[in-house]
Amino acid sequence: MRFRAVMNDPSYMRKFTEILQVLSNLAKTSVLRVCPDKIFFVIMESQQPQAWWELDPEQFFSEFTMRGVSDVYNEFYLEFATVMLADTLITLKKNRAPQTVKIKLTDKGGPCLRFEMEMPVTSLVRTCSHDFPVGIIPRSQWSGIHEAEEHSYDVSIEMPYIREMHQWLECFKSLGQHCYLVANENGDFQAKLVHDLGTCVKQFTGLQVVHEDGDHRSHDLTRLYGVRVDRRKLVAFLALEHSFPPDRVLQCDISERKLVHLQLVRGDAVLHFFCRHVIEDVAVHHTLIEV
Amino acid sequence: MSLLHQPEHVDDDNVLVATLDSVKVLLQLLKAINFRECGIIFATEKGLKVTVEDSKSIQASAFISEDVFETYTLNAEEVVFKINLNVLKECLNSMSSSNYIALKISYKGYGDSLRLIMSQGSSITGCSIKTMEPEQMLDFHTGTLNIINKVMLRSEYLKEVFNELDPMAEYVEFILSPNTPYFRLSTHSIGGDCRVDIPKDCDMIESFQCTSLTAAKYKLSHIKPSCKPLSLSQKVSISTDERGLLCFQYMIRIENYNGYIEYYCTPIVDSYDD
Repeated sequence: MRFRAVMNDPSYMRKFTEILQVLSNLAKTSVLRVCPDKIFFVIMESQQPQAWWELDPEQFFSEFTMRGVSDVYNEFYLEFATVMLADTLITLKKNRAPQTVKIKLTDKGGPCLRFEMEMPVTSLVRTCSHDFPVGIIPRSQWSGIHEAEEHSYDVSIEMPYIREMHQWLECFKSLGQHCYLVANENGDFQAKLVHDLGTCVKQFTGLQVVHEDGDHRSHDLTRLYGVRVDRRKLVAFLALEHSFPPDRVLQCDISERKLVHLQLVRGDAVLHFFCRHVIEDVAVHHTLIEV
Repeated sequence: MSLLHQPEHVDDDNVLVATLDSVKVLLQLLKAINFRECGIIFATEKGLKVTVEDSKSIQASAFISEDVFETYTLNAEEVVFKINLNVLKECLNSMSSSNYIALKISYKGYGDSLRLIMSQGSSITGCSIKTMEPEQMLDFHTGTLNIINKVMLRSEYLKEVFNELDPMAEYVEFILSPNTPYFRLSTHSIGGDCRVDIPKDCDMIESFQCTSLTAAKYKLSHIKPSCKPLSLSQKVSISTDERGLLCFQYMIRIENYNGYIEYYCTPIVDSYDD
């Protein structure tokens, strides 16, 4: 296993640190998955991936080399403490940021990620190193981490009104733990809370539908597909939108009563959120509201 | 059919239809009396009254007059239902993010849900809140005919006085009299005795109309919920009758509208008094 990367662009150093801070808000531990053409930071929940960041190493690093556990499986997975790493890298965000950051997988009596930061001090250069302990995840546990990627969906829709949806969802504490996300191929989307005490819906129309193969998946464009998810997890994920530029878009892929995959695209990084359908006592029929 | 689906031509089915361009007045008044989960809503031609009662000892009512609404139509003599105020508050709060909104409130009658619907640029927000059988509420108004003492003061002063009260005490005694001590609040607890005397001619009192001595004790936990409407109001009047029924009436001004909250509290009957 081998990993070496060099960052010398201050804006990318800042983005890297911001990503880690965002992850540290979601969970105490995270998994770093290094592939030849991608890097992922994965948050697990009950042995299933809940959220993950996908980064393009060519954008972030001026140099990047890796070698996986074997020729056939040319990737590796490391487990680390998110808050500790986020705190360690806080200097990358400051004004007098390092001019270069080298990241290397080393062995210091146990596997470590070494961060070597070269900081200019007048005419001299000071090097600061952090050896950060990580855990190596055995290959037997890999499949559970990336299984969410291969799945077909009934509808995929782009939802630009993330802040509005987040603020709306945050208002409700009395209408239960769950929320429905509903969409159709006509560009209609709903976030819906259904409870004995009442029902509340936030509906958006005229949204862009994403077609994977250039064609509609079904002939009935108005048919609504819904999935029921944990409301608090959804709110925690949507809270990350404030660390995104204003032109970020949320793509919502729904598989009726099975799972939802949300992708928040930030230019050079994609944040994924994945949630399985929570079975309800009574099936809910989805319809659009009219004023 | 969706609970929220309501085409124009069935508007006649509604016993109550009202539109609002800001939820602020309604929301703030509701928050001030939301010390219990549920409340009763009465709709009359004059507007809405929302009442919350606890242990047959305290009762608060918020009055939202029909001029707070852009349009207000009542197609029945009176409309009454019980509703979960926490849910209503959350729904109104979810619609309060922008300054101008076009919110429509409607209700079809007994058994129907209270519907809120708002259309705003990019989205439509709709809420359908279940209503319940209204419970019988105590009618304290019979007490207002026999008011013995009445004091009006600026709310900020009464708030200061209430903040001074000993939080460890179980009861607070209110004494109102045309003679000294005029207006006294006192508490007793293991922490000690606390007494606040407010002379009738002091700056904080706007009007003082006391005919005879009234003294009564109230549970501090029954007075506490009155602090919220007190904070919201500009002026408050305190009145008592011969039975010791305490009545606070709060004058509230929000966004150029005059709102009004009434708060009743029954006294503790001390069976060991001599």
